Amino acid sequence: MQNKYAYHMGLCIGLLLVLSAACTTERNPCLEPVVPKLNVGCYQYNPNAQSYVDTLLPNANFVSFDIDSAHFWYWGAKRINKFALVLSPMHDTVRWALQVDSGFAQIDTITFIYNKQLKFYSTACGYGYTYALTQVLSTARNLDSVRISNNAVTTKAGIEHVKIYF
Amino acid sequence: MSKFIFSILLLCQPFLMFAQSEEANKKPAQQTDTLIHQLRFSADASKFLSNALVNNKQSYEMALDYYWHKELYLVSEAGWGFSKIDYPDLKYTSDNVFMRLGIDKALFERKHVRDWGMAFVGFRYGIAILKRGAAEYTTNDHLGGIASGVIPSINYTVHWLELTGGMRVELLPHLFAGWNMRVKFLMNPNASGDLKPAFIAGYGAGDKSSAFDYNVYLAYALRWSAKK
Repeated sequence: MQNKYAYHMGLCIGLLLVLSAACTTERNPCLEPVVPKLNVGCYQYNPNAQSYVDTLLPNANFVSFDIDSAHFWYWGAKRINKFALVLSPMHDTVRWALQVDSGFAQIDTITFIYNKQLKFYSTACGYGYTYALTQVLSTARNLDSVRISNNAVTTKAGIEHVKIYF
Repeated sequence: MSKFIFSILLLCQPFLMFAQSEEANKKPAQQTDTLIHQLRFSADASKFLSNALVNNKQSYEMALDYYWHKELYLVSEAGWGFSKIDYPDLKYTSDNVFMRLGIDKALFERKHVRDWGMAFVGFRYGIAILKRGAAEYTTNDHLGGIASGVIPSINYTVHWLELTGGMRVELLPHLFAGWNMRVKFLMNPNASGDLKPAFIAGYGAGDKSSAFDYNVYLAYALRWSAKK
């Protein structure tokens, strides 16, 4: 019995020591998005269908004002009707400028007002912020109006948060 | 490193075999089950190795077991440890003490009264008292702007249950070596809130609700006779 014990114990202790040697505490890679995107869709009223339908902007510019210095996030974006913008954890309001056609269209500003919430994702990804839109303001030079369709701006994909009507 | 470890094991093998050549006792164990008491003190040698190899977590574990009767051992284990997270965007420390209480049951009946080697299974209840220090964080939002802040420290207690199995061999009179494998199930995984400690000494990864662990013990046994 003792021989059997000793043989198996020697093998197992060897395995455990190798496990110890191989044991590391490297940080796991972060495999999930941690920056929420504010998804914006553009719509236009179609009198034939009597409903709002997607509308492609011909040559759009989307510029952020308050996140950093003015920064072009979309520059001459052709035939796009969905835009992914960002909010800032440093502020509770950010302004964006939208020019439907960079060739000649007037510029509208859209102001997003929101509350921010600190969120822990994981030890691998650390902390980030999620946002809850409370209000969206806009000028109406080219666009008609803006509306919040989903106020929870998180890393969940496939959700449109704001609709812009032309 | 692996060559070094295997060399050590090969060197240890003769000692293991030497210990087995001794027929310590001639009396059947059943007749003298409680005539000799044994209290065994164990220290986990594997933790010294892992402490030397890994610099952001440390732990120390000891165990005390007492032969009760009918191949049952009362077991108390205790220890302490700490861990440190030092990432560019997240920094905090945690430390804890722990205790485990339970019973081991030898799988085979002893053939001789002084045959104290055994293979066993057992269960434990574990409790740890933790302190997670204040955590400094920086968000990774390079698009919207990088924010930073501090999450306050927190003290709390975690409980877990575990199943264990292992072996003990008496290499020299009163001197044992052995190992335990453990599977652990955390009973209150949300006690710490969102930010879990990277490591809970006595349990394992603090952000997992179940854990696997092992120990390699060196032990010394005290024995005394109950009656003549």
